Amino acid sequence: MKRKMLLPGLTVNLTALLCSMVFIIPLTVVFLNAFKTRAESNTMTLRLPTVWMIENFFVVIERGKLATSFLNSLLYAGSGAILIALVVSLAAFVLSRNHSRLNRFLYYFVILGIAMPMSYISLMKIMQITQLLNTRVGLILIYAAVNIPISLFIMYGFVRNISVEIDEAAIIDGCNAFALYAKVILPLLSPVIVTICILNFMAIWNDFTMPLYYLNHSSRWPMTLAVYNFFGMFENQWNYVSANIILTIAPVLLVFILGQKYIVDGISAGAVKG
Amino acid sequence: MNKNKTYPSYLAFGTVAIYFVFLFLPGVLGIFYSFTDWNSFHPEVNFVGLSNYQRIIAPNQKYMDYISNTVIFTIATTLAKSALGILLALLLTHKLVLGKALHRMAIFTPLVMSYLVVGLVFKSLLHPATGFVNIALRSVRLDFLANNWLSDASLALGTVISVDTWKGVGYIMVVTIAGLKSISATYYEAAEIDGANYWQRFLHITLPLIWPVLLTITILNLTYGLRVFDIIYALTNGGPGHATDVINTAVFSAFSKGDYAMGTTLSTVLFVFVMAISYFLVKMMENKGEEL
Amino acid sequence: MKRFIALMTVLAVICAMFAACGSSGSPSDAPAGDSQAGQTPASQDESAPANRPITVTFGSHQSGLPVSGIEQELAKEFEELTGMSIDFQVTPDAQWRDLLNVKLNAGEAYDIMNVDADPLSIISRINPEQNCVDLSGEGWLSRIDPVVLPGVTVNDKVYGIQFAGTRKSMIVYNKQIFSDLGLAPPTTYDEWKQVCQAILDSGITPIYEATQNGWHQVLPLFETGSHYVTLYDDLYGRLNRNEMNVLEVKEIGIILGQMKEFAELGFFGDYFMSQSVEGAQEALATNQAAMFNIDTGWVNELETEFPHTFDNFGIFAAPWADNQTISVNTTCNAFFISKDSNYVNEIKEYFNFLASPENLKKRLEGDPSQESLCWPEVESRAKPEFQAYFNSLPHGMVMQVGTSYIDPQWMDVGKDIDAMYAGMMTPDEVFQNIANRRDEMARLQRDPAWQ
Repeated sequence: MKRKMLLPGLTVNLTALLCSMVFIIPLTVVFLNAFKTRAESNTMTLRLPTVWMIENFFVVIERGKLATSFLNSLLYAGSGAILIALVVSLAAFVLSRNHSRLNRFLYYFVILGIAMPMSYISLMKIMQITQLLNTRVGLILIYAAVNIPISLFIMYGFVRNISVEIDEAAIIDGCNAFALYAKVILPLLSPVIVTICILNFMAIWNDFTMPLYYLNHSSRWPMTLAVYNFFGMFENQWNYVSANIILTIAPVLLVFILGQKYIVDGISAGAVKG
Repeated sequence: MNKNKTYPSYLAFGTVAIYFVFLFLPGVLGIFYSFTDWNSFHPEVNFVGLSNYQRIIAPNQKYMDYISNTVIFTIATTLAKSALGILLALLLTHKLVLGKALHRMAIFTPLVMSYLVVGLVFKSLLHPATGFVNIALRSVRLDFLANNWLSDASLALGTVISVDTWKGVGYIMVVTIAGLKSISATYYEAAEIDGANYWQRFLHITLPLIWPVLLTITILNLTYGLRVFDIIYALTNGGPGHATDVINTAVFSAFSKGDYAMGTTLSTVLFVFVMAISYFLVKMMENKGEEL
Repeated sequence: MKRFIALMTVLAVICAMFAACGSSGSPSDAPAGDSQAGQTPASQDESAPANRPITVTFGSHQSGLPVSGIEQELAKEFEELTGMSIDFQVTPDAQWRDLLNVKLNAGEAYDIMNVDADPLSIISRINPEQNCVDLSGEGWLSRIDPVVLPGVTVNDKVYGIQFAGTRKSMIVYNKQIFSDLGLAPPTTYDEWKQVCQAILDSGITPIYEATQNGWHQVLPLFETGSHYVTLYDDLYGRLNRNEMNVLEVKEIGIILGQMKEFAELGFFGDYFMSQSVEGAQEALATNQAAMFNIDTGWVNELETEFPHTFDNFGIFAAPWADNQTISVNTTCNAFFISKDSNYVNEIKEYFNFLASPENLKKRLEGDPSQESLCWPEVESRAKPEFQAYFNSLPHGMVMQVGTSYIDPQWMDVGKDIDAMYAGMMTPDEVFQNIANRRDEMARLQRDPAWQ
């Protein structure tokens, strides 16, 4: 028995190892490069640095304004993701439960936004009228608007698969609409909410065009924009650029590693039941 | 039960309001401008009918090439991500594979990197002289495979598609793994008794059961692919020449030239595309949903 | 699951608090608050004390600021003197013009805007009469080189201040390599081809070419404008009045063919399509390549970065289409003040500070890429050897400064040239596209000469 399993076992494990390497090598190369001298970092290889230049990181933190921009990114991505999850779960709840003519219209109206082109200049006008230009709140609302359609689409399908009988039981117990949502539906929605939060968190975290247009103050810039500036200044110093990249993705990677179980479970549960 | 009382529509108004003000309104204004000669040089805007659309299909323009690049990119990345994602999921749920969680994490890692960073990293990894890929190929005596990955016109689009697949495949894999796990083992046991082999079980049990999931993901991938911008901007900026230019890079360059009308016209074409495809897929899903 | 949501919420609350504290306490937020007050009449400016800690936004594109950081250093000194700090907001080159357009349209411009303007595009790019503060009354005007003023002037009013001196794009070559191989600087295209072949045969890449930045490959076409001018009477004027089509300047087509020939002969090396301008210093300093087409100021930069190259690099005029003239570009980035700024007087003060003789000197010393400033009182550091060569040849204006609708399509031409090198376009198609785009832009801007 054991001998019979050895060969296929070896094959699948080797294949898996090879696959993982393909995904991990680019980051490893960058990681090693971050510790090299400028001359060494000119060629990108897996060779270990001759001297480990920790000071690269200090240079980058000081010159790259990474601390404030990190907090900004966290604010935009965090509150954006939570805001979307909140309003979209409410909307998905009523729209998928009550198929009135108005609700059907509203659903398709919002879903239309999946295809909606971004129009920077008209949006600029609207931001001025609403006095939200150059404010953090304004930026968060834009991110919410851009990501609402696809989030609603995913959430809607999920709510529909929750049995209506649960609602009826709750109503008999004397729940009103809000209580029904908060006490019964929301807990059941938690897997898909995690999915949506993660998707939106990443989308917002990785965006750099919106703040470029709608924030005029570099103290409010998120990390992506700070990083882009950094690349421009140190284009041919790959050791610094590498260190900057590592510092930029480290926090997200850390969150991902720590919360891996929740994230993967959330995505899976959200997608499968949806 | 009074549906309007139990599920009052005003709960949806938060979503609708944010969406209406910050996306729908500017978007519709943009579409309106595609029928004008709006540009950055003159304050007044005149109605010009369909002439912007005629410019897109004019033979001396490259816009049709950009549209076909967009379609190729979309179809190729969607297929590649789905196929590889499913294969990886099958591999990493195989009972003989050790350290599944570690593998899973490794493959998911690219998802947390921004496109900007992915673009920068791959630009240097794929550099023909100093990049990791070619150095590695040469060190194992595969010199003939060492190419100008991003600057050879016949390879560039393929390279961009591969990098994008590399970044996005982890998501599909994770979702598929979850789908696979949720399938009750009794189905497989029954199939095994009936003498079905691995692939038959996959085709007749696994695939139909994870089909709805795949459809959702396909919509995400298609709408992403049609609107792709960041990865191309970061990797090739449409080059060499126009080999990797897509609709959104053309929109971007029309805007930078001050030709706002052309920018919004191209955006509108894209809008119609994405809307048609999404409509089709959403309908397909709904039918599926009713069957269940 | 619940723990995850709790974690997310706590994180969000914490960073919201951070952000709130940060913005209420920091002085850097002052102008944002004031920008709403900016809609009220601007008379309150005068009453603002100069030593109040204020922040002024400075919008620029990446290549608009010297790599050496001298601009930021001068700003720091001014801050120590007056308390006014400058918030540099640097945008990637490719997005800058679009972004500036959107911001100007919306009336949300930066306090100071660093714009690459020239006499032909100043209005389309920044429209100073509408958006900028008139600087005609400033004291420094009498000291700046008047040759640069057309680029910052509209209807006899000056709107911008410029520092960079005129630039001349030349072929920089390695004297050592040339003398080892017994070669002399070429004066015709055929000679140049032979020189390149000899260098290639010795195992060195003859010319360092870089297409990744998008602009460098376009230099041969338009920075030989001084040559075209000698061949056609009143060339730029006739092109601008649309009495002549750019296709009639046959030399542009010839040069495109020559560029293609050089690429095919391997004179640019194998990897020029992946190279960037930033890599040129190392390639030339380490003898991997022998020549490079660039502004002469670049040689100073090279010598600062790689001292062993001192005096080892000479220059000659690029002999594309047998050119033997020197094209001069007087325009460069200039600083403009936004009309909507709350700190017009403070910024004028800042410009005075920058224009003071000792700070001009500091600027030139602190920026190795600059050979001279457009301020005659500051002595140019051009090498006597280069100066002698400049004096030996006729000069003329680069084509993009003299001819309309050339500079705005620079990056598009760059992409077409890439396509030509990649075999997707012929030199003729590239040339034809240049003419088409001129017509298209003229139509878009409703140029009366094209009606």
